[in-house]
Amino acid sequence: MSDHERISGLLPLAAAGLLDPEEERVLRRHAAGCADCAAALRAWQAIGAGFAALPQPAVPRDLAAATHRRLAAALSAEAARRWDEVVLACLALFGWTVGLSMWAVYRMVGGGYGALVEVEWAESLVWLTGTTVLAWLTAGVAAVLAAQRRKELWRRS
Amino acid sequence: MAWERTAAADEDAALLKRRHPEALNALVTRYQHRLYRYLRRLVGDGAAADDLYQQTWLRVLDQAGRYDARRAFEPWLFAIAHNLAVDHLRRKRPGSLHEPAAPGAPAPVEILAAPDDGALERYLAGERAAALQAALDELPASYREVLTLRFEQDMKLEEIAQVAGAPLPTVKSRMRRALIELRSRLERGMREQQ
Ligand SMILES: [Zn+2]
Repeated sequence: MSDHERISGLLPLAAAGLLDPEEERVLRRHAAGCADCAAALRAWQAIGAGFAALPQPAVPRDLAAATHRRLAAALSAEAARRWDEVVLACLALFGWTVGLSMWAVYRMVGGGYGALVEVEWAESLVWLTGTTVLAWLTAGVAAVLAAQRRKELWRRS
Repeated sequence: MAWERTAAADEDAALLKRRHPEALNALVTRYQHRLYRYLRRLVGDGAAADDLYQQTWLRVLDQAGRYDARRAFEPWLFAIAHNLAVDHLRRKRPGSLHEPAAPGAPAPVEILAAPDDGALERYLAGERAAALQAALDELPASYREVLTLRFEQDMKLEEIAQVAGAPLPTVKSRMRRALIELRSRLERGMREQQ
């Protein structure tokens, strides 16, 4: 490949300012003595320079504000989700506490403090199953309500 | 000036990691021109660019935790926009994305038939903007992208590679082919006018 051919291959990237320093040096030295390559380089540079004159599309006036609104909605949906999670955790804790204390009260009413220690397993199992089912039902209803609220928030965003 | 702009953006980007709403809004406002124009060049139509702009920021919020504040914010941001735009183009106009040259095709520089440098230079001086715009619009999106990132967004090769998610040599040869393709379209436009 002649020097001239090699230089022609470098010209497009030269217009983009993307030659490495060595290529740049070789190009400059050759173009200084070769009118064809100098003219070709000028044509490529004219293409590059043309980008500065390109008409710029107008940015929609509401673009930033609309984006701010969507981000705010996303952030508040996220906060709502986190709040729902906290509420669900508290509800579950509350359910267990109530279940356990009711069990204790029930035992004490039936047989005083002693009954708290002498646990009858079959009876306790029924109680435990009952409260667990109740707790899960409550949690299920709460989850459905939370999901509905989230969907509502999402639709508004 | 460019340095100041980037430094301020990087400062807001560092706050972004903590999902600071004001920092996020400041970035949205600061990048509205550059990011919107990039998207507009890439996808063409205004409504789509508008929607992609908003989606980009929602995804920025989503991925804020993954942003590495030691790295430049801009290429990270534009890479998110790039991915969304590519998905959009794939859905709307499959095939508009990729360069036409098959592997093993002749190097595009040989395609240029006896270029008349002087005539092209004069043509560009006369109707540079309209001619360039028309030629650019005909290019595949991947060509338009590297050209706009280099010549309008003033990005370095490494940054363009990060945005396009492609290795440096690929981006370099894509840039070269994009310029040659652009030039051949400009020359065709010039001949049609004569
Ligand atoms: Zn020469």
